[in-house]
Amino acid sequence: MHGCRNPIHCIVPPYVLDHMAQSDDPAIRKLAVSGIARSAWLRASRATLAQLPVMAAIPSPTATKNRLVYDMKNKGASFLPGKLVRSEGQAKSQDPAVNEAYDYAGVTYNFYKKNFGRNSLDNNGMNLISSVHVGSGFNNAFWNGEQMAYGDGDGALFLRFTRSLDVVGHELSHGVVSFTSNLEYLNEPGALNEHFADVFGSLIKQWRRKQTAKQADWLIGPDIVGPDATATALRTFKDEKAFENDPFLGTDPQPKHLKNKYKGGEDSGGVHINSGIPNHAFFLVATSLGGRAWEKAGQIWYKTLLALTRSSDFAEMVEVSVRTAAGLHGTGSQEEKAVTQAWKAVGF
Amino acid sequence: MTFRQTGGFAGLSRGCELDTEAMSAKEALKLERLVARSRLGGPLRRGSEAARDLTSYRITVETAQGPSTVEYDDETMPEEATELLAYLQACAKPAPLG
Repeated sequence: MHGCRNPIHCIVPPYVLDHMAQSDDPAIRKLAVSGIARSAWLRASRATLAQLPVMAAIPSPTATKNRLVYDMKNKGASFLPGKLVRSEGQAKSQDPAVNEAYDYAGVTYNFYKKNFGRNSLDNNGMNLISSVHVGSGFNNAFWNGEQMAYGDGDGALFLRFTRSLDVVGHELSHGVVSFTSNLEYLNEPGALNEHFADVFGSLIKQWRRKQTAKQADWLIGPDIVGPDATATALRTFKDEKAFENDPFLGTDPQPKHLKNKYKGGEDSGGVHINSGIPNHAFFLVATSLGGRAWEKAGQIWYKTLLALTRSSDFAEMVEVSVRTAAGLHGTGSQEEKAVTQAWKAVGF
Repeated sequence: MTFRQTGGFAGLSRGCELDTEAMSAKEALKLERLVARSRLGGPLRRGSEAARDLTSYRITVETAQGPSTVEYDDETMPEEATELLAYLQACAKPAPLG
């Protein structure tokens, strides 16, 4: 079935490299011999690097908005952050990815400052560091614990990830989560971590567009889906599939009800999957209350985020968000009822 | 060889299975060279625990000695494996979650 013709098909243990060194193919022999030496060096290097302390958040010189955008020139993530190409206050670059990362980080900073009084991700003026052109055809964006990293996409399945304000807002919001509840990135706490990143990513976009909850698209990633995909977005807060039978993406796996919760171990216990359940609950709260979603639903959710802890699960999220709504608007208020009913609708 | 990727910003689940015995000799040799150049080794390489939205990659090879698996993510995938990863991603299709 998957039997190898001979052990040179194999990649992993040192004994495989040893065997490759006996190959009839001179190219493989040469690579195997140098690989044996390099593997030992790499293992030693990684062990040393793992002991280095994680860089603490660096506050900006003026403890206010301070954006730094770096160009990775298509090198891999191990070379972060890259070359500094635009600092706070500097003129626009010729590179749209640089400008998008810069501008959208600014919108995100302004959203948190204006609506929640929060001074950057750590509420202490932390520098907003973005690296663009990570890898070659890299179909991803991530937060590495200290900065954002954005790929350009392969142009077919995905476009460059800096094109999307909700993507930038999502990644930076992971930073906000890490400096508040710091929800563990596993199982239900991890799904809540993803949920808050989606919520605030979406609210930032709505705020920028001055949209009401009714006007909002409630989509994540519509601006980065490439021409070869039939999907129009990667996720939706609504009780529907963001994509179905897409040749590259498949079918949207997110449940919108607790009864369909993913219980497997992939994706760190489904952090990008089960976030669909609280995402839909938030949509129900926001559309029930009407108006601009960041004003009431967003405030309740931000205060809830601050009250949760690293191990908070869905049940605690339900309890704390209802209590927060009551605290902000009164017991028996329309807002408390909206939150309670939304959670009930998704199975709690 | 079995390839699987999960996670990332999009939370996609994709994968493929390759049987070198079913390939042309030329294609099998190409894959062998990519594997040799990739310098992959060891059981598990995970990036920073504080990182979010990293894509995870798992590669399993069936050998005469049994299956052997390596796991990496976007932070830890060796530069030398870039071409192999591109090859595997080109053959990958949407896969149901395990």
